[in-house]
Amino acid sequence: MKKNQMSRDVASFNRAAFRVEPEHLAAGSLDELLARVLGGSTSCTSFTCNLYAPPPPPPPG
Amino acid sequence: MLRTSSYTIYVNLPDRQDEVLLVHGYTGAYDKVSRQVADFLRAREVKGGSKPLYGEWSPEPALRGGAEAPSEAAIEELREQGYLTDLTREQEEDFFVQLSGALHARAQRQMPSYIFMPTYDCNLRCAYCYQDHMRTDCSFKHLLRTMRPAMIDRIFAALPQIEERHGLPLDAPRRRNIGLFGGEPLLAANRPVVEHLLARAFEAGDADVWAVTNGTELDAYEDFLGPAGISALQITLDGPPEKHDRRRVYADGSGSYERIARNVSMALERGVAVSIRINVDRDNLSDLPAVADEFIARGWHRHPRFSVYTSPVRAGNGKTDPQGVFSSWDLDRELTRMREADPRLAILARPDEGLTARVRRIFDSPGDVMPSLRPSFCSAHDRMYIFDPFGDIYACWEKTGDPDVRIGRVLPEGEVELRIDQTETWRSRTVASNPVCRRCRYALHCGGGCAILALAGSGKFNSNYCDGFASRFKASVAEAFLAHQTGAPAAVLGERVCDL
Repeated sequence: MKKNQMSRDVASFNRAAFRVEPEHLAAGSLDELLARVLGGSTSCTSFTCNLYAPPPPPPPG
Repeated sequence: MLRTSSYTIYVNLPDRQDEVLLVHGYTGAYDKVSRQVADFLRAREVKGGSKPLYGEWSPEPALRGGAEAPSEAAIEELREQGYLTDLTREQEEDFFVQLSGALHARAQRQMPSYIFMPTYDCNLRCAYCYQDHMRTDCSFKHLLRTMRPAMIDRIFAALPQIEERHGLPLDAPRRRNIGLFGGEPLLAANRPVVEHLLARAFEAGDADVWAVTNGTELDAYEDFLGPAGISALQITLDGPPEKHDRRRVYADGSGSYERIARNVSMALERGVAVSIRINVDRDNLSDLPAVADEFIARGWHRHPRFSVYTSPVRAGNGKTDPQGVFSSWDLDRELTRMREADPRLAILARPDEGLTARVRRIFDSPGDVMPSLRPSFCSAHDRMYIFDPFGDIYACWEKTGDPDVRIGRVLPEGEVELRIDQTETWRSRTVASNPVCRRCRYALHCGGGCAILALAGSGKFNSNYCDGFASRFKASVAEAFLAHQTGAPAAVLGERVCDL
């Protein structure tokens, strides 16, 4: 068992995939955070990217 | 201001008063902390979170003594893991909604799964069957026809369009997941159409083909069974022979056990993964040791691809006594108790054995893994397509046979026509689509519960169906941790077809 014992009081078995701060809630920042965590385009992280609306085209480049 | 995340889950450990497990509801964090740290976190929760309106709610661990602050290093660690946050409760809920949406969108960009229903007809008349009315009420007789090969061709012509909607390029290689369901899909009379379906499935590329079948006429498909054909089966056996033969009966009342058992043996010998489902209620619970004996006597447990799981009977068809059924939590506890007294029952997986096994993998192989989070309860809400003999498309196999709830249909030209209203209803149900789930710390581990059971319970499709999940999750995490600590062998489980 790998322990991250930064203190004796907390022993980690699985690290958090991300940490969300208030500044991430600014426009655009949350999409970037979610895209980084979940993969994929920043333009396709909301529910609008679904069956009955075609996905947006991939970003250029 | 720093506060405890609304999505912090506390798991007590039996016989350990000084340690608590923490699980975060959306960051993927799993930790063990001292009771002091847990009390500190509890004391910093902003009150007012929702309790589920339906189902059970377990009280959180009691706050003991004072809430002394841990070290600065511990506080920073708790922030890193998401248990402490600078977000307000409202900001965190908004983030949770957006995260759920992103997870759901990602799920919808996966390869769809397909289920073909060759017929709604069935040769058995099980009293608890939710489709019982289709075979016993004459007004549904029109449904009992068999899918025609031309319809199969039409559906296969439509699949690339469906896959393109899910973001899969037309020319990309693909491996399709195709299930057979009914009624009874593997009636001997259906062999020509199933043969045609298999030919089309494998001509189009790689495919995994499985079936939910009562197993009575499986011998008619022997040459199709195996890793290169129908490679997995789910078959129901509801007790030892004499009990099963009172529940899973032909229309003339005769039993089906021996015939099914011979076919199970045949399928296992041909290398098919066979998952036996046992529908358990208060009437057959005490029979489970005899069931285990039967399976062991037949040698099924020695096949690596054999598995058994238990599922509570649901009182949903008007013929099943609600007093005679278990909740998932109650059944899991009963089986745990019985297994402690009788180790033979270890071959029968409890309802939450899969959950425990998944958590055990996190403890056994710790790291930076994003655990599987569930923005919705099942693939009815993202990418499952069920085709019935008439070319109607449904999202959920509990709701088929009624054109009013179909999500679309396959047109004669092989085009797919989706009904926006029904499609949106089914595909938009997530843990963020009702106010109770979106504030629940367990939501992304639970998925919000079955839509059909929620609708039956509350009258609202977009409502929670907890089924005791809080208790179940905490018990599973504690069990997984203790098993990891003792080095107990991990359970080997087959795949379950449906979470109900």
